[in-house]
Amino acid sequence: MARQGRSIFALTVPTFLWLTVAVVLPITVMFYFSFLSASPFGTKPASLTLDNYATFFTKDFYSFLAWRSIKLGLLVAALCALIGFPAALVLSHRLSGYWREALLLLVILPFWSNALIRIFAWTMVLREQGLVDQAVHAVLPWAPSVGILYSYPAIVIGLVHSFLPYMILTCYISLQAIDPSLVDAARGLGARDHTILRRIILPLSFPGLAVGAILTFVPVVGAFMEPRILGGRQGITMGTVIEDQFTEVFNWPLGAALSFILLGIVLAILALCYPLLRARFRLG
Amino acid sequence: MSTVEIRGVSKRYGSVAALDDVSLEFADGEFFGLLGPSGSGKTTLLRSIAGFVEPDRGSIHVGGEEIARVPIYRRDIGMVFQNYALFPHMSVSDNIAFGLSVRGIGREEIRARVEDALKLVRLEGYGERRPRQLSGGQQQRVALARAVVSRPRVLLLDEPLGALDKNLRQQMQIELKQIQRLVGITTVLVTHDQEEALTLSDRIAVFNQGRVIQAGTPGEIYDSPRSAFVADFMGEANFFIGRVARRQGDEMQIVLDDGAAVMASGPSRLAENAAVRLVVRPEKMSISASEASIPPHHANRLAATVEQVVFMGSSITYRLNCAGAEVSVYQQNQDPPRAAEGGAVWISWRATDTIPVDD
Ligand SMILES: Nc1ncnc2c1ncn2[C@@H]1O[C@H](COP(=O)(O)OP(=O)(O)OP(=O)(O)O)[C@@H](O)[C@H]1O
Ligand SMILES: [Mg+2]
Repeated sequence: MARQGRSIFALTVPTFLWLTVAVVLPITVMFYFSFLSASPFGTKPASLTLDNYATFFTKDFYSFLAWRSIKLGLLVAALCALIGFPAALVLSHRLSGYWREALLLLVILPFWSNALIRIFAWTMVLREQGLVDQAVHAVLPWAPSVGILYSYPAIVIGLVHSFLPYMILTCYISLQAIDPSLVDAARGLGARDHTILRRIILPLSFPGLAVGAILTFVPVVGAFMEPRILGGRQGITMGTVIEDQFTEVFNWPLGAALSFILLGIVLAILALCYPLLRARFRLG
Repeated sequence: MSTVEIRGVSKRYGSVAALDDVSLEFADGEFFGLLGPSGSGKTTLLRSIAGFVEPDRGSIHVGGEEIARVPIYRRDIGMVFQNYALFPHMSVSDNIAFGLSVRGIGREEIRARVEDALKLVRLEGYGERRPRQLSGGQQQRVALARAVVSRPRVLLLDEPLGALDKNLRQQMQIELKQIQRLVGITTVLVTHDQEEALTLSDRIAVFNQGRVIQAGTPGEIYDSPRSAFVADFMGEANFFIGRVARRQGDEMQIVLDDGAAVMASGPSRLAENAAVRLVVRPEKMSISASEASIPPHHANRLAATVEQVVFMGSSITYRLNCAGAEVSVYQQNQDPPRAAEGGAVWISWRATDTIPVDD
């Protein structure tokens, strides 16, 4: 017993150390910063204060931004689900063998490319005289310019592209796990495709859809690269404002406080969804 | 009318002929057993009837109607899958109600019919449970209730009892038969348990390598197998090889390879001097300690030595050596054992119990 306890201890210590160094320490430090009246390492002496948190609640600008970021997160998660679920369905239930593997690889491929390069590639595609614009004009020469770079849709396109693989993979995994004889059984009982989708496949793959939505929603709410590069003046989000506090304005305490508020909002939303998720996950 | 007519159905998967020119007819209300070794095409035939498999050739008629162009959801055929395929996210009631609700039947009627179906399979009070919370036998009954509740024209059962232990299996066999009689539905049962097929079926078809080897009533299949394969597959069989020495009407004398003569009686296509393989069922043979005590109506008698005596409870199995061939004999456990291991005995049987078969 004692020996087993020791070996478990020995096995888990590296993990805990790593978590402490990589996650707990920085977050604790940031949490501390968020209560300072001035940037650390600065010339002004810093004291403890709640002002940074108060700023969020006194200036409408910040709550407006937070709401905008949440809406962006919901929109991107919804679009990812709308595109990703059917894609995963085709991958798991319509294709097999070579084609399935090839397409899965294509889905995962964006993971292996640098995010920055991916986003800049989108600027080439979306700007005026960009690929989309040229393609449209090749067919319809008289059409007005359709460059949508530096707009809200451009941000959404970039984000959906970045996070779609998560959605496809989580949906694919839970769709794969559905016993094909359930689909046969439903069909034999008289159900048609849309009924099978609604009453068998969707409920049984809901966990994948939910995990995919969370994996998309959470990072999108705090995203700053896509809004900044693809959004131009439209690209002000909670994420970019926080980034500015660290890189441009050097107001680390405010940046840290806003981060924690955003984290709190996201956790609150997930907590609200938790009872629903738990009920659906249990059916497994 | 829910007769099923299968005419010349073939299905290939690559180089494998899963079904090879299969023709069968299931009468209205009949309980038909499909029996055969693994990979012989039983499931493929069932799935062809249900519509999950599209045959390469041949036609299937249900109630006189060709169903090749009828989509699965309108075929009106109930199926119980080997693994039951119950919907894990629905309650037992919702599972049973599924087929009714997709047909747009009213809520009240669904409730009443689900209630009836639960009663039929003796699961009243289990409606709110999830399939996971049921035992194997109970899940099997839910699958059966789900398949029959919409009163399909044909019920297809793919090894429905395969996952159950022996006792539960026998109990479920009885229930299955009762339910089928009650509902009166044309039923096709796939199994590779020959006892199950014999117990449940009105008629049986024995499959091998995608072909129907023989079809008939359980009695015909068991007592008059036409081939060595069927004889061997349906229970234990003793084989003898010989040559037809003499024929007179239905009476035949066969000389075995070791020179012993055996009588067979019954219709046969064999000509004199033809090579023949004979089957004798172990329970049709008797063992006698001396030639004098052989039952007088037993026309066939061979000397043998006992190699092994196996006590089986209700019966005793003797394994004997008869001129180099291995022979099994079953005797009811009524009399004291007639021979001990190593003893010299006589085995005997009636001429009508000698079955000539094709190779
Ligand atoms: N979808 C398929 N793809 C390729 N081959 C198949 C497919 N379905 C069946 N087969 C082949 O067809 C043959 C018959 O299969 P089938 O499932 O009908 O056998 P079975 O009699 O039901 O066997 P078992 O008793 O093991 O269930 C087998 O050789 C099998 O490998
Ligand atoms: Mg099978």
